[in-house]
Amino acid sequence: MSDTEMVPDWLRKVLAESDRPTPRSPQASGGIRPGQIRVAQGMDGQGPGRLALIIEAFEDPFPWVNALLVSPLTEVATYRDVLLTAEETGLPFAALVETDMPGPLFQVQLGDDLGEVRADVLLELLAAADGEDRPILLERGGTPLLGRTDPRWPWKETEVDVMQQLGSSVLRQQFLTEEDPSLGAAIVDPGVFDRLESGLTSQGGALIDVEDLLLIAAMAETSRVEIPQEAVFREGNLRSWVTDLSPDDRMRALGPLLEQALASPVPPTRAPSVRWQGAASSSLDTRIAARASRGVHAVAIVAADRDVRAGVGGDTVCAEVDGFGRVQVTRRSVRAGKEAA
Amino acid sequence: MGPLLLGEARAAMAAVSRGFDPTIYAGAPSWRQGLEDAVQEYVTSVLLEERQIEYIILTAQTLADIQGLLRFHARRSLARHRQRSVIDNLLDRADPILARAPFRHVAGRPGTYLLDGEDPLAPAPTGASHRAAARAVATIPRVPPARGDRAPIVYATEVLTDLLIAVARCLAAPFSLRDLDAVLRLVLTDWVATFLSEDEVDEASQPAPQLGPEDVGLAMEAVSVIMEVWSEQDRLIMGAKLAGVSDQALAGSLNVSRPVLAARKHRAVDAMREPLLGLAPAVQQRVIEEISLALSRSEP
Repeated sequence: MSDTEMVPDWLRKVLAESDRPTPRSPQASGGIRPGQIRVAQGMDGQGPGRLALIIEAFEDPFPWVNALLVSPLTEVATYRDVLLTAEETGLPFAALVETDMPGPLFQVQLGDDLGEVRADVLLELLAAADGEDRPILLERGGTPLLGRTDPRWPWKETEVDVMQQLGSSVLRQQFLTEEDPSLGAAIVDPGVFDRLESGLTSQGGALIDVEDLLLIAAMAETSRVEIPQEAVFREGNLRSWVTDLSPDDRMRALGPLLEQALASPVPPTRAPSVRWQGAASSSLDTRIAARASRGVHAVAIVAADRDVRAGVGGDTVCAEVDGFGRVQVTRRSVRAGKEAA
Repeated sequence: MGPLLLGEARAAMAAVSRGFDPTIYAGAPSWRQGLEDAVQEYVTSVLLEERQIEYIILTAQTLADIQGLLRFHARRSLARHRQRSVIDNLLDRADPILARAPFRHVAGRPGTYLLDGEDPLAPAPTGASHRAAARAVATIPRVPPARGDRAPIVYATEVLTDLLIAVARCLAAPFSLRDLDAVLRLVLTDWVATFLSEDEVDEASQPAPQLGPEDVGLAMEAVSVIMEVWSEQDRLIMGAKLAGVSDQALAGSLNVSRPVLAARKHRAVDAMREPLLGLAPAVQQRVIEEISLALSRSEP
């Protein structure tokens, strides 16, 4: 029996009569920006995702967004939920934007761009999410919650749990890096030390751009950068730098570099399994896994300008570390990293 | 939607419906006879017309996710069927009430009603006025359904009359049963919300504790003390707050600043403390319900 024969008549008829406008296709490319509706996934990658409306997007100290939960349960709207039609969002269905359910998400938690709200509606929603009583709540919201006995209360409690679960990784990251700033330090990509753009010539060791080296040294002085020891002490590197740098540059660069490199030995993590979504360097797997083992879910990498310009590894990518979940890895150029530090 | 997804939807409805009475949720003596109708309603209305199947596909990552979401929306479909039947009953009961004073038919517009004193030429109600009306009557007390009650009345007849008056006053225009239906769907969101969490089903089926005559007497005494202590403005403020009007909007309509409004609101709330002191929580709840009812009856 074919599939068509197994579809009952009533369903075949409903499907034949269904002639609705097709919602817009998911936009896989393009930047993440406020107003977009995307599927948000927990950093553990478990369970179904939830729709989220991005209300703010940030780049520092790592790429993250502030988002509101979006629900398809239009019939249980409370006073803080704003009903938007399919035509207004581009989603296939009407949905509620829950202005009382904000939370922070890493960029890598977000899937394709499925819909978008107009800028004026977004402004209203932003203000409502800040607790303001906006006209949009009166015009598009439901009835107020009537306390704990209101049957919608447990639904809202579930929504709080959902948003806490989705947003917990960003909050944990902020807490951990406040407690120990070294966990938020950018890691210098060893590839930086292997590049020749100008200045130095090889003396049998690595090649490096003088300007990059000096910038990294300056960052090292602020202690907000992790310089992999194995890269600095790779055979020939130091000798090359000592030989080729001018006396002034040698004084400026080598002291801070050596200090940071000595403070950044190879982590004792056992052969981590790191899977990358998209192209990415794996030379830092051990260090990324070491951060992940301490609960960190976002790592910044300082890479050579040329690599970043060429999009090696992408600006922000997701790495899956076995046993610890997902880590958002953001590559910045040496110059951008210096500015951020 | 093909046969495999239909099979998953049918399995979801079969699993979810097991805990519910088929006579109430499918209008059939058993699920063996009622399941297919429930599946058709679920697939047609929820999954296809509302395109929730697309929500499921957009957000699920695994087959287990799809199955979980299908079960969730199957519960939602049953709940809405239940809400529909409850609202239909209320509309049936509203029809004769609307046929007599203080309501009247609008001449030349069959099926359209007007409250005495309202403008027959006022523009038709909108979604916003439906919401405002729903907020105004949301706190009107309901008769708790008994376990297995097939046709819960929700509102006693005299309370239903009060509700209709309050709705009509809020709409301030000729209205139809369709408008009333829209308002009631907003007011009775709990008939759907109750079913969204599995843990809530049994609890929701339990009737609220009934108060004895002595407790009712204590509650009514507290109500009259509070209503006496409150000034006319206090009653206006508390009525608006019970209807969910924001401080900002209320301050604007009273032409006072938010701090002034907050001070008056706190004074009105403080006036409730003493009469409520020492009363059991269920009695206090009854007091609040009675006050809500009294305030919804009063002229705005």
